[in-house]
Amino acid sequence: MLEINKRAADSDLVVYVNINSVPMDGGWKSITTGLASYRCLSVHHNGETLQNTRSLMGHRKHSALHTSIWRLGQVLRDHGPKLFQIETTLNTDMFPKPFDFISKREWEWNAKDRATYLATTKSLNRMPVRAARKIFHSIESPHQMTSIQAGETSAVHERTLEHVYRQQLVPVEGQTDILTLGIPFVCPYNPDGIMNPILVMCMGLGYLFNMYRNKPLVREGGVIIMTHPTYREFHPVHHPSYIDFFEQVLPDTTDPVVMGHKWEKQYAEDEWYRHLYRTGNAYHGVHPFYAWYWGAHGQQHAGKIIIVGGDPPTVRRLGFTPASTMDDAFEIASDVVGRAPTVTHLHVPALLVADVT
Amino acid sequence: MSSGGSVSRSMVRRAARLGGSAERVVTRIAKPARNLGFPYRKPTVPKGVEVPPAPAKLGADYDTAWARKAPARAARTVITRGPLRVFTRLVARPEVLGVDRLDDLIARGDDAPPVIFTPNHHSHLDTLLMVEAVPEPWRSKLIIAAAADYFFTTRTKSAAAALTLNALPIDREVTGRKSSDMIRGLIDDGWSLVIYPEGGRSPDGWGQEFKGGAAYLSARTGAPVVPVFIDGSGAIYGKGMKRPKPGHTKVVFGAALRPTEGENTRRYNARIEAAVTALGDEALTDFWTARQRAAQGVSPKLTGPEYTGWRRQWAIAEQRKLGAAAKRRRQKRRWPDLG
Repeated sequence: MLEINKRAADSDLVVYVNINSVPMDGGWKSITTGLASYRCLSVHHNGETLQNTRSLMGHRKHSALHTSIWRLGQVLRDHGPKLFQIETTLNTDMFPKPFDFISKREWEWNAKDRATYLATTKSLNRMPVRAARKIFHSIESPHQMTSIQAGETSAVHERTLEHVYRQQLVPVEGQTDILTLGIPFVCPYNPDGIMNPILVMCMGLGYLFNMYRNKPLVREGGVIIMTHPTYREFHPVHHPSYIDFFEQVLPDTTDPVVMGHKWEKQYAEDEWYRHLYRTGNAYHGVHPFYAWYWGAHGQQHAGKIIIVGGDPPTVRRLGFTPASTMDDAFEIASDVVGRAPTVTHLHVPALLVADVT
Repeated sequence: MSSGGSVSRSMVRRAARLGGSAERVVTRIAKPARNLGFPYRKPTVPKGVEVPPAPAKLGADYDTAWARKAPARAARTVITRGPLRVFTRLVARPEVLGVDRLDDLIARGDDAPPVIFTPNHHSHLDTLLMVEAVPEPWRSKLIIAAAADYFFTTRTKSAAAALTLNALPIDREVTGRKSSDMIRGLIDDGWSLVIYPEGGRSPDGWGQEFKGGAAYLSARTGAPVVPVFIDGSGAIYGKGMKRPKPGHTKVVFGAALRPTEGENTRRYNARIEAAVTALGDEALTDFWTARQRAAQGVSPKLTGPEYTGWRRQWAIAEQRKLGAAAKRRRQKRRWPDLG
């Protein structure tokens, strides 16, 4: 079923402008999800589809989600309004001075970078979390545009993907036993907001784990170690349904398929969430489910998921294992991957897609 | 008795607390630096990682943009009008001639156009003399083309040259497109340039043949070339001298030159060299003699006579007697005391 915004469906021409930060974005996904209704989204945004989406950033045929979306795209092309798609790509320059050291690999840090890092971490540790968040959310990325494509959706998207891959693809030989990820303070769903525990899961397993082409960086049954404070904090204006999701759904189940069948409809059609979504600055009531589904493949693929430095009860609620230090995390991981595992660290920023062979 | 005992106990406790905190502070301070790893120390490079060579930031690649911003310009004004001026006047006692020839460059009611000064080059003092002698309004927007392989080899040297002299690194072997484009851009922005067409200081007191850089830049930017002759600086602090011997100098400005229609860079360069040669003659004789000799094409060459060896040295000594260097007070001879 395809159902998009009436205003767009009735238009003579729809011009869709998109920034393709990652290869997952753009193409038919722009309109068939960006302008689609819940009824339409629920066909492919569900636990089963995302568990079968074996590569969000790689080949489309490995992604059940993209296969479904491209099918919808064909329907839209044949029966929908005229489309003019404009897709753009950006460079990976995410932090301006003096925070540009964050984008460098640590072994490249010079004395100034190290001094800035020390000054930043020491002062952030001493300031209230709210003030620290405000500082980081106020940073404007000095991104620059690397390409712009315009025209027919499929043709444009192929060219866009070429540009994104040319910039982001990093060849990696072989999978690893342990994948370590530093989860940032921000994800696509909390600008000027709080990175709540569900978004930590979404960012780690939904986005960073999926930053690969061909095969995941970590082997099936391997361990993912993430570092994040994982406070039990939510933005009541932006994420009202996330609070109830955390308190009501997660204690019941962390399985995306089970929660989808049991809880999703209730949240999606809740009148209060709808009201907040339409009149306030809230995400849709079903959004925490989609955020959770995004990590469905990672959750299924990994043998164990550990969060270092997080609030232990909150981390356990997510279904993960808390650890206080990286050493502890490696010790815990040894139960799964043995005493001499291989370790790969995905450095964020900048954005990259590991081309695992 | 009991109250005295409790007082002493509380004092002991307080002292113990104080001692404890003092110990913590001392331990923390005395903690050997070797126990501190990254980020207090340099990071190690993971095995298998080939570190790419760092992009060059010195030499011709040194970025001097900061030195042309307002704070650096203010600092430079203080430095050049203060200690550098005092030093130059004490050591080189410059006599500046021919400044009136620059008046023609400023049309009535217009701003002064950027110009390219092309002095001969015998000493590091030449730059100080130029900074001192170039009149306003050019002085406040003056950049000096300096050898990248000499003045821009370390960060400290580079920063000092850029700040105090507004020096711009130039590769003297091959002036790359980057350097020439940058200079053209600066001239277009209204900066005047001092460039030594000889490419470096004189190795023996005589001049060297002019290279075509100044002529090329003038032809490309349309900025006029002002020939300049500096006399006497080589005798004060010439190449190879360990310390300066104070003396007198003369800075003579010539009339501005512009490329003529259809003139190639080589011919234009020869004209600039001839103009500086004529100014050199003027500095050592007088205007009228110099003009007559220039008209006949018999001005003494900057590069000196064709002799080699000691005769060239002899000739330079004879020439110096005519110029500003001759004004120096004879130094007291120091013969060894043989008892």
